[in-house]
Amino acid sequence: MSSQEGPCTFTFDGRSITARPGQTIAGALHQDGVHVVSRSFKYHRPRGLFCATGRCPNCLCTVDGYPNVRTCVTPASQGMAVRSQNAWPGLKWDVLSIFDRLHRFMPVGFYYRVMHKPRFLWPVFEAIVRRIAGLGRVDRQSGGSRRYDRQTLHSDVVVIGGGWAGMHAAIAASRGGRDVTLVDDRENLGGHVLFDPGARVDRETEFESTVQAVLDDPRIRVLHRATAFGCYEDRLVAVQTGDRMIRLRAGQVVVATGGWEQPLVFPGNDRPGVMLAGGVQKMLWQDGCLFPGDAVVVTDNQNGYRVAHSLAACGTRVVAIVDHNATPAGDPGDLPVWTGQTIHSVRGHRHVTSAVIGPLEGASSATESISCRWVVQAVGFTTASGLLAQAGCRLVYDESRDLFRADQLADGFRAAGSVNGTFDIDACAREGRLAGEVAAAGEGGGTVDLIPAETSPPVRRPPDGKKAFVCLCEDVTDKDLFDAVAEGFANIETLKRYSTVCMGPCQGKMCQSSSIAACARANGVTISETGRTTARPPEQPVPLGVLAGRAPHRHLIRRSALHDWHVEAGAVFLDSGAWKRPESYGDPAAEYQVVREGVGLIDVSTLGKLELRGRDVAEFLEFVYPNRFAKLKVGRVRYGVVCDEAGIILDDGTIARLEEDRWFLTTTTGNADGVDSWFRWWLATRPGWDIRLTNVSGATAAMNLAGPRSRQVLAAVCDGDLSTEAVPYLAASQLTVAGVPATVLRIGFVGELGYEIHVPSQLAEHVWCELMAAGAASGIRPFGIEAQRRLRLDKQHLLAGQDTDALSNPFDAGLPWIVKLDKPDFVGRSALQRAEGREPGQQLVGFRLEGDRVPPEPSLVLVDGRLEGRVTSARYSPVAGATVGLAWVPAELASNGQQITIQLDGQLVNAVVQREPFYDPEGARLKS
Amino acid sequence: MTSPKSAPTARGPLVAWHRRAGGRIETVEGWEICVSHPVQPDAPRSGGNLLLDWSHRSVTELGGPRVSELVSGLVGADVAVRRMAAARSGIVCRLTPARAIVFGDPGSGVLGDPAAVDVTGGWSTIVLAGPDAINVLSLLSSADLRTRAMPVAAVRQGPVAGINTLLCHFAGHWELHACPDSIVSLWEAVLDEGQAYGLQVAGAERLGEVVTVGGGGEEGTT
Amino acid sequence: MSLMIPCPHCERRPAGEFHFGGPVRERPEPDAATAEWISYTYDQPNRRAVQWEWWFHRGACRQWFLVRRDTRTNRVLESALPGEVTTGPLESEAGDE
Repeated sequence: MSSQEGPCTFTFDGRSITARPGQTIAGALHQDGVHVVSRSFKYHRPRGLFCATGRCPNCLCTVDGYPNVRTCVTPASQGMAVRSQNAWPGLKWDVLSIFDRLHRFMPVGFYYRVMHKPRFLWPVFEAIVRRIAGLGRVDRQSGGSRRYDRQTLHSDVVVIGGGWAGMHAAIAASRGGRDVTLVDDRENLGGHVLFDPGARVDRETEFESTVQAVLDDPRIRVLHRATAFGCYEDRLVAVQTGDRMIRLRAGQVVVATGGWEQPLVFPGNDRPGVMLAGGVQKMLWQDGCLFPGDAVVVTDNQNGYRVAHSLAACGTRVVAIVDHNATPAGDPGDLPVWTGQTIHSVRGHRHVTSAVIGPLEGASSATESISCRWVVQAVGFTTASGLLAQAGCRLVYDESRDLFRADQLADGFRAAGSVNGTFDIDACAREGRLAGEVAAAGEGGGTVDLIPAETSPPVRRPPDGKKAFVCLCEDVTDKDLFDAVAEGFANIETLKRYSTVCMGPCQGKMCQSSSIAACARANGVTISETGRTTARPPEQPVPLGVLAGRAPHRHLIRRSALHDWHVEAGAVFLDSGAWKRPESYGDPAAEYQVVREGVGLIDVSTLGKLELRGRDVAEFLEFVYPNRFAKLKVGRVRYGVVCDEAGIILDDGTIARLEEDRWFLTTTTGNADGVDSWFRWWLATRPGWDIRLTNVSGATAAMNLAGPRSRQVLAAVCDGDLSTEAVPYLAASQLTVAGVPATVLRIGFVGELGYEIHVPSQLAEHVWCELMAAGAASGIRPFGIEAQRRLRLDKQHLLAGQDTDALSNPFDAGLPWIVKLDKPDFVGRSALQRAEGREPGQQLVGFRLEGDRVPPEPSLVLVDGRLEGRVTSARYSPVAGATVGLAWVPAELASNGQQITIQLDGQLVNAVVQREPFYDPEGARLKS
Repeated sequence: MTSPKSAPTARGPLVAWHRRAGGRIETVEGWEICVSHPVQPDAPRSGGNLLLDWSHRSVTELGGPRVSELVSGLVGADVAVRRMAAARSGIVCRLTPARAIVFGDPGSGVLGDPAAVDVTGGWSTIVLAGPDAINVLSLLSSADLRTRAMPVAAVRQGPVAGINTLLCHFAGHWELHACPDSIVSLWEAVLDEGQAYGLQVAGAERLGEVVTVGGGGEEGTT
Repeated sequence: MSLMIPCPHCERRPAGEFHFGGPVRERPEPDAATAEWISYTYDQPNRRAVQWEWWFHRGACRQWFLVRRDTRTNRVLESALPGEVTTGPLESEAGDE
């Protein structure tokens, strides 16, 4: 970005602007004489560059359709389209600036207080308020084309902040043998020292060699232009760099985030031309900008003298250094100094024209107006300690330094430099080295060791509740805060929420100190008593796209081993969790019919499949299922329902005994992982059990060959005897199917003679194709889950999770026979014992509804107009000649022939309860 | 569709993907595999980043208290948890004290053991090789991939692209083993993140240049 | 979730890879009083204490294990395999701090 060769040209609101190589957008605008960059959030006041270091909201513009770009830290590049925000029709003449004149009628909370009545109009007002009080606009077209990604990095020591303290910390940690990641949000390392020549006096060589030492150190990874915006549990540091979010997992963290220069609060303090010293220094020395005309510098420390000399060196006429102190805080050279004075206000609308100077305390009559174009403030810093606070470090108000700083650090954290309120450059270096050494030793945490500094408390002018902007982001004035406290929002947290101070893009960087001071003053208490609001991520605004990520892998798709065959066959897919399953191959009615009359084949590979081996498996199954398994013979399969301790149905499936100590279980598609986990938990509670559980869900594919002609189709690819004598209903056989070893379960979910064939996944397509070929003469068709759902409904076979919910036990779900309460112990026995003796509530029953209207799930079952149940499944059944389904109904209606009322398309229709299958109630076809 | 009574041919879950991408499919030792992919004009001849499919392998899961004994029989020594070691014709990955996975032929002695379950087809394998493999992985997983945490011969189970993956670090490449039902998603996610690094898909004919014989080394043995 | 959980098989991992299985509790005897069973089944203890808990590493090794955690500070103290440790009564109860 900054390495480009020649100048570049971009547009600002359509006007062509030329930028020097490496210059920021804001720098180029300033150089071109553009001093109004945006309009403010509420009153649409003209705003110019203020902090110029990427903190305040004033320079936010839309760049190439991307809103809220900090143009003061974003390098210009060729062809960029930059647009101002919050101004209509234009920056110079914004019609909504009328709000500025209406200020006294629009106190804090104005919109919400005035416009909430009449209530029905609020949506209209809200839309207007949202439009005029916005912060840029998201371009829905360009947003989708950005590629956001997410990376995880691990580091022994993470140093946040590449300033003087941070660089020394990184070097020290690396010398301690650790790998270090240094996160810095600027183009170049060096922090504020980089563009403050005064701070580098006599250290030019040391500065450059330090930067080089960091860059050359193979153990230090430097992340440039990267913003750490959050510290989370177990030292996870969230970093944004461009369109990437980096999750940085740190062994130890050194926070060297420095400080934020603070503004004074005085009428007109937001006018273009009023700036902070650090920003002026950066624009002078990094962007190569000039500040032509006269300047007034307001200060209480050395920085003010340094910026005054910088300005003077670059051709600005410094007409006054206004020093709060009684004696000058620095060497003014030949520049005029006004001691014991401060700024009371500025005049000018689109730009400063003069500054009003007067005594710190006292009547305004003693003031004097000085004509100038620039007012530069250098009145100290607050600590950038938000990340420390997020990490759980305790912050206290340090009266001698007039700032909040950490005094008790969270485990694994160190703080160094200005973030501690240490501003002396040599002290910063010493703190940095110490922090790096402690971090390298893995001993972060504990109390903060400060290098004692020779400082006296700064002289400040107290807030006085005038219309002077405390918060540039949300246009909150001193007066607003005093009014809000008077209204009762006296606590700093409620004051913040009510006035929205500190809630804008700067998140308090420019306004937290002033708002705390105002709150303290309005309440007549100390700053320490007032405290500060809770720090939360993000520390810096982060685009939502970065947080959301692109993460295509969030959309995991699971495909069965037969997926590609289904695609070729033109299957219509249905999303079932992450699975893609064939709903049908185009004609579910024909697929239904072919299973009833001929033979069909369905892919049921999505079933969960578990293999259990060991001496104690039978005992385990007796324990986790309510029915019996100890005496299940080898070669047989049995239906089972898994219940929890409350007797609620978790899942159902089949349990086959393949060998004496080798069992094969299936679960439903959706519960495969859940049952695996459930069983593993019970196994973990009894480590003594001799049981080995292998999840073979992925290794095994399954298909169900069903229909009256299924035996002859299977026989064509299988050498064994398939007669009912050899392979009866509920047999579990080990057969060779199409040359592949298979476990074949003779079960009939769809109500016909059928074989559930389990084969190794990699051979599934081979077996499937062989069965399709062998069945061609019998008219075999693949069928999807829609046909399967219709087929099973004829038999009233429930689907766990579809027809049951978190209140369904086997008694109410029509499976009382499965509960063997005479077993001494099993999961859910106590609850089921209680349920057995209780008056039943709702029951799951079959119902028959004449005609072909199908109530969608979950249609309501009504009794005397009251909601008393619901339909869980319903389909038209050709064999019943009516719509059939399953529904939860009151117990008194749960017997054969009872009439129930179902709400269907707003009408009430009558259905009849039928508690036996609608098709083949004796199961003759199943067992044939 | 195949003719009736043909010999069973095994097929991995990525074969259809390879075919759509123009790969040449051949049947080798009972497996349909993608032998080669069309070479992209801008692809480096060597030293680039490569993505290969090695799903055509036997896989065996060892479980229970006798795993150490079985692993020692295969490798010649026990293998520590989170480490792998070369066996006679494959790699043994130790996941927990009571669980190990053998990629490659474990031999009939092991297969007949009640503690062993044949799970071929339950694991698919993606081979990721090249200088930027570690960068691609850092975009897909929260794993600590620094040499200290993940040296050669280390194995790690956990999410890669949100999919439970067994990640194995070999001297010259990484292997990502996952359930075949999710492997297409994993493959596409790796390929997507690899775009920025010029990741190229290759056929099985190039496995030999990437995967050195017994590439696991003996570092993992205890 | 950025909290790290030490899996005995896979080492420290982000909590998002795990499923929380609740504090370790003694299952009542089959013939225990109904009230005891009801309490075990429906009352979810939520104590301010150092307690042993079940965790399941669902995104990796898919094994259950035990974690000793201080619910007041969310600090994870140690982990163990089932059977390795005795998960006795709570070490500290509510009221302190």
